[in-house]
Amino acid sequence: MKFDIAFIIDQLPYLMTGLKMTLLLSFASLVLSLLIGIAGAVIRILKVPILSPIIIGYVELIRNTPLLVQIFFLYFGLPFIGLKLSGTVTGIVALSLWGGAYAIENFRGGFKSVSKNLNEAGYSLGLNTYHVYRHIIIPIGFRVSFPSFSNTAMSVVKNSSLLAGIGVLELTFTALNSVAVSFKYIEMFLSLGVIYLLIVWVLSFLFALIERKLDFKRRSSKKAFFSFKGMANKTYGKAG
Amino acid sequence: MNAIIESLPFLLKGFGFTIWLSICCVIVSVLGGVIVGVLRTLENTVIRLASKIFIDVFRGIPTLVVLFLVFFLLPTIGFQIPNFLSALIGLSLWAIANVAEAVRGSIQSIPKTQTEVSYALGLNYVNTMMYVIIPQATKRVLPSIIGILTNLVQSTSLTVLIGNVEFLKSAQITIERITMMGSNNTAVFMLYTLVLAGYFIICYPLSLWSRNLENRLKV
Amino acid sequence: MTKTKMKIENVHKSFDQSSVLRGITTSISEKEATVIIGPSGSGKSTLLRCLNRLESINEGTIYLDDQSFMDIPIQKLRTRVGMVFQSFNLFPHLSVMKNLLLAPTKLQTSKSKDELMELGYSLLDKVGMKEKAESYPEELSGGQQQRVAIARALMMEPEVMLFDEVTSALDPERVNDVLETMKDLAKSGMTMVIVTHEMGFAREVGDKIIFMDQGVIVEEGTPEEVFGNSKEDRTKAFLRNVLK
Repeated sequence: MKFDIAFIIDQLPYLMTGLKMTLLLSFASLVLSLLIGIAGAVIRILKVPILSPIIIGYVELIRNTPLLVQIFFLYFGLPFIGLKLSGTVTGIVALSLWGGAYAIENFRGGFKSVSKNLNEAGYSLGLNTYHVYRHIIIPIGFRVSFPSFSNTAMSVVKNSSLLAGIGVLELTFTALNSVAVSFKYIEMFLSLGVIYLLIVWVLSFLFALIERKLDFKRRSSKKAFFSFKGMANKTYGKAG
Repeated sequence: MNAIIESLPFLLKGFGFTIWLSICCVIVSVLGGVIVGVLRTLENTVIRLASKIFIDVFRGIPTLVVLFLVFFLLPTIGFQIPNFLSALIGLSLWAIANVAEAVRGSIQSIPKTQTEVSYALGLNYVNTMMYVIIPQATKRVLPSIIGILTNLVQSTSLTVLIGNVEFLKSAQITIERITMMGSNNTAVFMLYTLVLAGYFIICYPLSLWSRNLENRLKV
Repeated sequence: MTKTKMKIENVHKSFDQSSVLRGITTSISEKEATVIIGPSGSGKSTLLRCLNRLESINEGTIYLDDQSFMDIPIQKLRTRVGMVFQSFNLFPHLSVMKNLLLAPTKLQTSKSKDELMELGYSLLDKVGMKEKAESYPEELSGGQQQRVAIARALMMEPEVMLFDEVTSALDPERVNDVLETMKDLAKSGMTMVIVTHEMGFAREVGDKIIFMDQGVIVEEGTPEEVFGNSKEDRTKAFLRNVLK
């Protein structure tokens, strides 16, 4: 058996179309997860009647069932209530709902940690709840939650591979397609692994940069100070 | 509806397979994870780096891709193994890496003074780890390990894609059987709901347990 | 006799089962500094927090300029009654000036941004922090942060200022800067209600002293009356302990 590098190079353009789809799906889902996460966290903390219990149920359901089954449910099960979604739309919906549920927990922790004191400081200046959240709790809490949200984000990107299960032409599915005609398993799956590692590596680098940008403690000091320390340990996201 | 009830024994068999696979994976990954996690904290540069690369690689690659790698790679290099074993190896590689990372974090979160004071008392490395560091670290790491195991149970569903007939697959086969007698959206919807419920029943108590332990840590 | 700014009538407040305020009746005079003293757990901080409705009261009424609290929209009330906390509570993500500007710009006061900036600088000047306008809270000492917090509360041009043990979290050598700022404020005729453990300061600045214990007002009067000539045994015992 020989390792066929030429084959990999030959297949790269095809894999890149899959990569593009993976990145597109991930980006759309991450934006939606972020919005769901922030809104859900605020609803939970403010204990909004009716909505808050719904959010709790939603988070528990998503976090305690496999994403792959959720994807199949949306894709094959929902036509029962007359909702037929395309693979791509199903993918974005499934990943956003999944990422959103984890993001709610990420942000809830962060928002809660913005001390009760800052809350009160805001209220005693005469600000209303909207302003307190908009200008104090969310901006500060977002920075606090960002490391855990970036873990969720990384998992969302990795989990987009599950959409191969319903035939969305993303990175993993293009690799499977290519293998189906060439039978060059080793070359293809090793390349696939390496590409995912690169994505994750680039993302963690980006997230570390954003984290640095967000850090108000450092922003104030003029010294430009750049280190990768502490980044490595956060690199690979959480289980999932 | 009747068709679903008739298929119940078959579905239960799939559910049993899922549980059996989960249990095997849990045992392997907890043992492996603790070992790799401890290795990761050793002073020896080679061991530390090797375990770091292992952890980073298997946490960075999607679980599904790890499964494919094992499933296709092993036979190509001459190991013909049953699907169950590929599933076990693939999922465990992923879980070991995650458990190891959690273990490393918890060991390193124990203040260095604890180690120093043990050495000062005359304990050696093994005794210090066994009686001072690991007991303290265990308490801190348990909630996240249970979290990972919850994820692991969910990930067993991925082995559908390498041909295991576990819970999800048994539902899909049932669906095929029923829809052969005519398209039946109700059955599809009900069976997928059933699969979601089945996983929820296993995972929800685990989540509660993990959260409970975590809350107790905070006090 | 000066005009009464706030009237507190028979105020009760309890948390769960334990009652913290048990029938407080007193008044706050305009342009005077009222100082509340008492052992910890006496309910003095709770009373203060009731005065801008950070805590709701279970029974009784509070009036601001003869208007019941319940008739004043809560946000309006809080801009009229400013508060400074023990833990300075500056917003860590905003510069000093932005800390000052946040509330007035969001509440759409009649002032333009430039006017607010100008007011901000003059208040920072007043508390001796003008140079630090662009700094972040992180870079300031505790005393400096607290003076910024005072300026921030003054931005709303409140009619009454509440101070809740504002020097308790400070290093001893920083306490004086803050106390001086408060003395200046008192001299300028601000109506102030101060909860403090600094007895010397209470005596010097207070126009009226209220001594509280176990949720009731034990004794109130001028500093001479309360410190020099207290009538109640509980007051005497407390003062003996803290002045020791």
